Amino acid sequence: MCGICGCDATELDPGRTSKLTTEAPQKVTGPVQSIALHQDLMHANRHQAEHNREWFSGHRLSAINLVSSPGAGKTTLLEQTLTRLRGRRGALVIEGDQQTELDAARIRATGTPAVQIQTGQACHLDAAMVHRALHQLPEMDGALLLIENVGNLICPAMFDLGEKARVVLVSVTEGDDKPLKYPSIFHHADLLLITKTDLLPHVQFDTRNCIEHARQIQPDLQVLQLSATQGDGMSVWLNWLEKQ
Amino acid sequence: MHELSLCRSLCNSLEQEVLTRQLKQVLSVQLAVGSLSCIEPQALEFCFTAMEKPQALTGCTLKIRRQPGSATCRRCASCYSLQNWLDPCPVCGALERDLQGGDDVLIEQMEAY
Repeated sequence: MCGICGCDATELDPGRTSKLTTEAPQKVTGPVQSIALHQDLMHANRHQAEHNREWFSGHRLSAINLVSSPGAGKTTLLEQTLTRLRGRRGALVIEGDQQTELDAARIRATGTPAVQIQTGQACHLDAAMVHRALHQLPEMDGALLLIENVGNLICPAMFDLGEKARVVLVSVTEGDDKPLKYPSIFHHADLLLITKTDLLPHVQFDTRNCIEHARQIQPDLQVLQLSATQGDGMSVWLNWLEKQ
Repeated sequence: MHELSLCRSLCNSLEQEVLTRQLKQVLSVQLAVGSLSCIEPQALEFCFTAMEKPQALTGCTLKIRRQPGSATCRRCASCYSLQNWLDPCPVCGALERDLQGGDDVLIEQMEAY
């Protein structure tokens, strides 16, 4: 018996059929067919992501999807990045949060056009949300499109937005075992950005451990380290962005 | 709660099949959920049951089969299957691998009339 609510649920058996249904089964009024489908459940999102990719390519936009847990420093990194990019390359930003326009307001304060997506129930951005946001941004061929995903290390892993590169941030105030705890998002990332490195003297974060764990999950992962507020490592990050 | 988004995708796909194949009702659908996907089968079941569905899917039961991941070891080139991201290569113990599958979800089949 389940120790939480006393129900009779046990570990889900392969092939188990849901017992939760409250809807009455339909009265069968025709010959039942068994139809093989073999369809990817993520098909609709992948299709939309491909459409986004074509659009990015047509406008020479480099789309970067930034993912992390809440509070890893994505918005601060974007503010500092955009301030330093001024005059070097145009940039556009899509912000994803469950609620509020707060992050988009911070980005607009740097002079960069930004659209806020409020996801409501959803814990991630999907390709269709990004597509709709693109229609609200000014056309700026050749720009960087920085997409700040919802702070969450699980759900955004499954949703291709059509981006060129996916960057996962881990701040040194988190555990260095994050890559082992949330492997999927690290597996799908191109770059690991270790942030808030100015705080290293005050925390027990082992940078080498974190990188080793991340590369066990994704052996080809590139790694950069920076402090957005103090500026250390920002030029290497900007060079990485320039190459995208 | 991305399981709810996935259930909406599932309903859209099934509804499309119903229209294309001129069916009346879907009785059941079977998914193969990769062991390395970020999907909790019980949450998926709960959402599918609780959500409002089109008439052709009312009463439809969801069957879930777990599909293990498959990988090739980067160190010793062994091919093996895995249930968990942290399952090491059974031959040499390395974690570094190239993944061939197991992080996706397939709609395998449906029963309908």
